[in-house]
Amino acid sequence: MERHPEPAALPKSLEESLRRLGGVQAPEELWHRVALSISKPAEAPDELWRRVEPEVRAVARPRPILRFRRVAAAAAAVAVFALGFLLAGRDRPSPTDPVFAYAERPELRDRFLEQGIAIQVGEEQLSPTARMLAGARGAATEGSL
Amino acid sequence: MRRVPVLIALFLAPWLGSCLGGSSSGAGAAAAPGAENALAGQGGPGLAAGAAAHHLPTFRAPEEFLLEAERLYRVRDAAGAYEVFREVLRADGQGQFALELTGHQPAGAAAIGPPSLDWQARYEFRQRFLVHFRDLHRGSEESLRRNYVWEELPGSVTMAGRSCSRHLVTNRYGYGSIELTIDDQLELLLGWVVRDETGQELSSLETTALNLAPNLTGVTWSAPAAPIQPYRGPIDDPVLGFTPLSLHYAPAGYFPTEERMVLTEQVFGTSIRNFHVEVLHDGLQTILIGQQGGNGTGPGGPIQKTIIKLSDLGGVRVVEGPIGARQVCVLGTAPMQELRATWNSTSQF
Repeated sequence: MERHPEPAALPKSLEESLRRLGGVQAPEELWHRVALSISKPAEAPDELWRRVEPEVRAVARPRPILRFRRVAAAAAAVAVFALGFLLAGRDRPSPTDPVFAYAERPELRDRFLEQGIAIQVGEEQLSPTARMLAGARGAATEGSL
Repeated sequence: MRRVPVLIALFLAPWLGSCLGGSSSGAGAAAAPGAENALAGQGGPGLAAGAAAHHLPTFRAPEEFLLEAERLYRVRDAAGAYEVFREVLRADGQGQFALELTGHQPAGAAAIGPPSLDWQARYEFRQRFLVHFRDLHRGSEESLRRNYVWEELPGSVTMAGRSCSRHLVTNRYGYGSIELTIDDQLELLLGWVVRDETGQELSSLETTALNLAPNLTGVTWSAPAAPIQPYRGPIDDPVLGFTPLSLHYAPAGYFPTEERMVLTEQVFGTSIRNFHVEVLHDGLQTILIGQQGGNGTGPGGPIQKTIIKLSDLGGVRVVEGPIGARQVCVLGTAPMQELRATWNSTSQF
């Protein structure tokens, strides 16, 4: 019988708990686990290898890298990412905004410019309110205020 | 089921990138809209997909700080010459401020001299408008990115004894550019230069002295010369005295931000009629639309026969004309045809 190194002593409290169990039998699985932990690896007999070899070869057969499910998942991820980019790139104002939407349509601006008769005037021909507001906006106007 | 969060994350990634991103004058810059534009490109405004994230500088306006600042405001006049105003801004950091004119150099004068009484009175009346609408204020991150291309200029400069960074901000729609000088430590806007679409300097502000621990004893804080109230809509028409017209066009990048009623009749009687002011803002600059009521209402005659006055005052451009019984003016630094189209759009019913 082979000798195994002495296991480390159990903590006192654990030992007492185990003794209190009395004649309770440990499950078989526990013995198997303990046996496995103290066993040494050993080469399987040739007969065992002959029995399992066909199964092992079947499991180890190389599989195609591009499986359909992986390709579909990757394509979906790329599509979602691209869609997010496209929508994020459309950093535009709401088309329902009546003022801002028009600003991006030069043809509308040009249509407004066709109306009215515009003349260039000096400061003195502006109304007092316009001169006051221009001064308030920073122009060097000598309005009444 | 575990793949769903991954897909959601992939979908949101570009949005997060666009929120954090911006464009510089480099390869990430988006094309501006409109073939007529100096920055014409094949796209519309906004960020190009995949634009590199660019941190926009943060800055606050001087009136938000406790300070006393001496500044030089330089503005181009209608003849192309420049006038210089030396002003002192005092602010308590709690919302109160006062802007005083201490020197004036008229166009053609050799040096700054004491201001005339008329100019001192004008500054006293205009000070709140100057600080709110003439001086630059940082708008929303979205508008700054949408409307401007940002570039930090190399090196640092000193202004008012403070170490500052400089940023060149170019309007995406060809309306011009702005150079900002920002205090590195306080993120305080100490200076700016506004140039028009031809590159000509329209106006500039330079802080020459800064005191962050001023003695504000005895300062008379600015107050509105006439009652100013927000305009809430038709409910305020009886107070205003007329129904303001609505805009149907604005220069690219400008959004309406506020409407106010200036109730001058309560102070000056009918000699100065009440007027309505709508403010458009593009993230840095303002356009003002002023409407003043008169006797009678209604749209008046056909717009095709209306005389529209255009006046380039140098630092500011003005479009003015009658629409029915109202006098409507549009003021700003955007190109004249943009301001005129904005004015014309108010005549549409």
